[in-house]
Amino acid sequence: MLRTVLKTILTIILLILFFIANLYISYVLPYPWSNINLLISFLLIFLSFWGSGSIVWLAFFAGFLSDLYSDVYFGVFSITFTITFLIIYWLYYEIFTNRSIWSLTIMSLVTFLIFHFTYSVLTVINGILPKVTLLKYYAWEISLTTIFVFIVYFILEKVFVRFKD
Amino acid sequence: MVKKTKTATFVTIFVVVIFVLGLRYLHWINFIEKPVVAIVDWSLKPINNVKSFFIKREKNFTIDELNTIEDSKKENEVLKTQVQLLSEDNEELKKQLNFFVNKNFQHIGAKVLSRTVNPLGTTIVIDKGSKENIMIDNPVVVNEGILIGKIIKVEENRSVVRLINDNSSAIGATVLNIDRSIGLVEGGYGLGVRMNYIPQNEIVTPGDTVITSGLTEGLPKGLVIGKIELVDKQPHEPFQQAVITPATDLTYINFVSIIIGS
Repeated sequence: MLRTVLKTILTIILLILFFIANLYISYVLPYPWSNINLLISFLLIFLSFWGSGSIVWLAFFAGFLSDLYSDVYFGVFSITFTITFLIIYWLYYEIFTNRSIWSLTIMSLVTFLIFHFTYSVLTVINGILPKVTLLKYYAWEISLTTIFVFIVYFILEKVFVRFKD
Repeated sequence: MVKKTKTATFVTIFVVVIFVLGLRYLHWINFIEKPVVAIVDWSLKPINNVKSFFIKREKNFTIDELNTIEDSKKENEVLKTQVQLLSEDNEELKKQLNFFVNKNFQHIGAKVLSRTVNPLGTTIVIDKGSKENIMIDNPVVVNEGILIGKIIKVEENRSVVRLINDNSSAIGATVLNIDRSIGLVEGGYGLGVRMNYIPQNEIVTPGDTVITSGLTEGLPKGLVIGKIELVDKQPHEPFQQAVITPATDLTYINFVSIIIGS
């Protein structure tokens, strides 16, 4: 019980750290590097290594944090993150079942597609119309974050395999 | 049976999400929210130093040299604009200029905390809020009169500024040319600033200064926006467009002033 509580607290702290790092990246790094999404990377890697259903709650918390630092209506990010990772969690167990780095890469692409689709729908409902020029921004975010997730997963996989050996 | 469990899980998640958002709306989870925001804000304090470090590395200048060059450049821009405005035989513009020179605007200084996470917009968070009488639509300036954006969200100790290069930003502007052309300065997802709806028959040339026209509610006349970089004039269209170079680097802002009244 205590172990679970400690693990949960540690995960939340880690998520907050990734959120802060994400803010640093988006402010400090020049375009297009500022588009790397560390928060989604963290959630994807968490899901890939532990495959736990708690990813949905973590995603909700990540969305809640994002809402605190966003100018759109409160709740847009919370709902977007929750829906995205609810679907991704289902896809992880039903479609991307071979647990390889390649399936993670495809999963990362699908995550962003669902994320941006849900986000766009919610913002349109709130009266903000996205423009076509935004696709350039999305393209950078999707490609750079997917590459980032690929590299991090590759490194972590090697490290974990070494530990197992 | 499995399907029933899945549906139950799905419903539970959404009930909890809506419940938490409802609690937040009623300010009943401030005891969790405030410490988290305080920790994140505290950790963002060195963000401008980190940014300075990166800029220093990019250009091989010392930070003092960089600040001096930037300050001189911006001061020069403001002075040039002020001289041009003074030469106008227009009492209103003179008053506006005197307004700046005499600092008759009531303003509050604030520090930039970070950018917001909204992928559709280019907005920043500053460390002053409703406690300091900041209100929505207050203009935000740097260097005594360079407009960088408007306040769009106010909390007790923080506010969100929509920068002029944000896709939702639209500001009434005037070009300091012979015709005093009026148009609308709009942003494009942080990637650029354009001036639209400039009448086709008026002459706009690269290098002309663009200032606020005073036609947008809450924005006083005469705040410097930038310079015309490129003019896009199509003969079959009723209006011409221009690409604007903002008078200040919108990706690197440390301190801002919020005009809260005059």
